[in-house]
Amino acid sequence: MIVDWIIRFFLFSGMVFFLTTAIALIRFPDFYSRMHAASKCLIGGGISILIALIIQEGPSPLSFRLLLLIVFLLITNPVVGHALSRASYHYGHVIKMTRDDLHERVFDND
Amino acid sequence: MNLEFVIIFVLFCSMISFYRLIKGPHPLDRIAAVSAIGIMLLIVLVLLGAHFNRALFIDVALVYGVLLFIDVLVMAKYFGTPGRHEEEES
Repeated sequence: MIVDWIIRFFLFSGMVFFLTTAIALIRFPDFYSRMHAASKCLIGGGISILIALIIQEGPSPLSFRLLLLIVFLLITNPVVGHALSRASYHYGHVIKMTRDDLHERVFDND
Repeated sequence: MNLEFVIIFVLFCSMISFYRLIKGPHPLDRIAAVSAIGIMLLIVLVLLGAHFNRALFIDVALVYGVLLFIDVLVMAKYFGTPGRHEEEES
């Protein structure tokens, strides 16, 4: 009974995270804000739905594979976000910041 | 809340973020949208595996995640180079 409500809570949380990601991808004005939404909310929604499926499945080899998928998403998605933001900075999207240590390493390389 | 509703809702969210893939002002915007849609479809694949009671779909989702990771990294490395200057850095 209480396990059923926990599963419903995690599924609903994942759906809210995914809807937040989709709205933020079409509404945010800047590339870095879009990348911020697409790297954190997305992984939150995925991990919430996978946790719901693990609780529904119980301890089994299938549940272990879902846990492996969670660890894989936690490792790879920050790497993808960092690579895309670094590529955008090297491409020339520079926003106004108070302190910018990468600027003199990338652009003032004379 | 059954699993079919969750599958249809996640597909709807991926259709909403397909807008950024069509109308991205920069190629890196399109790459970010492709990464988001790919992870949403990976979750849809896992949910379909839970709905049809097929354990094979989880393995397909793992391999799909690995291919998506390598794909996005190669595209970011390829499209991120034009801002770099022409001289060779060590």
